[in-house]
Amino acid sequence: MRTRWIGLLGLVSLGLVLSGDSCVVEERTVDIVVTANIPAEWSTAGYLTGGSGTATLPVNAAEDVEDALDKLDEDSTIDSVLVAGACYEVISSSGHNARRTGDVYIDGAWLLHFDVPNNLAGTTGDTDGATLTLKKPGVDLLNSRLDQYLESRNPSLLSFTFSASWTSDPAPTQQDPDSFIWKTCVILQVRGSVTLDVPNP
Amino acid sequence: MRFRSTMSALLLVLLALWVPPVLAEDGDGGGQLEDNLSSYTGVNATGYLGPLRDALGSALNSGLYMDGGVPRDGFHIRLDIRGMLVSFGDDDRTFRAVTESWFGEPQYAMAPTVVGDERAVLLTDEDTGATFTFPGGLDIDRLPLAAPQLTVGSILNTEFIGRYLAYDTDDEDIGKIEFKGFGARHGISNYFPEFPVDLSVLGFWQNLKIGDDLLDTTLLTFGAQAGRSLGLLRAYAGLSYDSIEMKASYESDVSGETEDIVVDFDRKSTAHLTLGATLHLGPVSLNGELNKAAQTSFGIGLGLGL
Repeated sequence: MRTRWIGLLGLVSLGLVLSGDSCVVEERTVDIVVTANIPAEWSTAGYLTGGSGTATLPVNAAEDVEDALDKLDEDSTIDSVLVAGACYEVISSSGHNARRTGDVYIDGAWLLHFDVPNNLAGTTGDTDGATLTLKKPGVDLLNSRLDQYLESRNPSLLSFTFSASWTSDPAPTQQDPDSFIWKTCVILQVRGSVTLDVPNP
Repeated sequence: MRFRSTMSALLLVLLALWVPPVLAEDGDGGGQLEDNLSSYTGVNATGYLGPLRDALGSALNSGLYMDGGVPRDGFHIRLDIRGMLVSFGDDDRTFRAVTESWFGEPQYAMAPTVVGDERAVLLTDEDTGATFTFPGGLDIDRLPLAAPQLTVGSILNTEFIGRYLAYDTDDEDIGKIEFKGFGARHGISNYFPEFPVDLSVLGFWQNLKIGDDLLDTTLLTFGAQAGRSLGLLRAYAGLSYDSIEMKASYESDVSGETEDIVVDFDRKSTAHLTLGATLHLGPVSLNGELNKAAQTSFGIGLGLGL
């Protein structure tokens, strides 16, 4: 009889440890972070005297931002979407190879400066000798638009014109023209919060 | 993103297999952890998850025995359910985090680990205007775990111990979760009938695997135990050398391109001290245990055996 009671006591004790009792599970409101990416793909071909070039590109980032927001649970609260970084990458290259120095603008505001040692496929802003620097005027503009977008969800707020200018060293020539595709991107972090139950006996 | 799946699976293991009611109540705790880790790569991921690795090491290398000796001969078999409670210290709540390479010049901050404060830490570069957000933790002081265990002996002064759990998540990214462990204890004091205490040595290997390569954790422990019977109660102490290796493999698409990332946690080795007592009442064994390794843990166990 005594054995049976002690065995029962053991089962009850173990049950308390493993049960979802309110003293074991507590509520937390946790800040969560997901990333988003606004890409811009550029194509450079031919040659210009002096090795300088420019290009413009229309970009609507609403879909990219919405994709990131969709990563959060439906019951999450969205606190902010902020510019957190940038990327540069040469996607393909079959022509002239040179060091490239240039800038990217968003609706005329300076967003990004890059200086990469070559334009071989795979070269990125992290390639040895490369620098990639965000610029405050463009970051502030984009952050402001993102803030407004969270209020209204109006996609036109995230329609931008990206423009790029660059210089090649050495410059391409008629015999050795440029022919490469490269990408820049702006990396965003979405901060939200969610209430959930965690084990904390 | 497979990294997200990795973190989901990790919490699934902790909550679904070892603390089933938590999963049943919330059902989505893994989602928040995976979101938070999706913004981290190698060095930050190891810092964020470090306390969980240590908790797994302390808890899973515990509860392997219920006394100091091994019966000399005669068949015995016992099925145990071991519940462990791992405590986290203040040092476990933060880690020295660094901004990811895409932020620009590296900057450092003390950020929450997975068990740290709920609030995120924001770091803004005044020159560029960019803001890096280090996500919050789950703000927990203790973590409960449990595992089933089968002990069979004695053959040549030796008993054999096994642990096994397998779970198919029905998620194509995560796949199967498998936890297995086996080892043996050899009775030393049986060779010395006049020896004043029971004495044995133990070797035990464990592996926790999620999917084919998402998360792979291997634990190894070698140690010695001593104990003495006091009526129905058997008190024991153990000292062991533990090691744990953990590796996570996943894909990240932060820069818009999918890339394979492998986060290799450094092997961590620690000394592990165990103090415990077991009440043997016929086929039922009730056990309490204190473990001091990388983290302190408390355990209770219920065993049924012949």
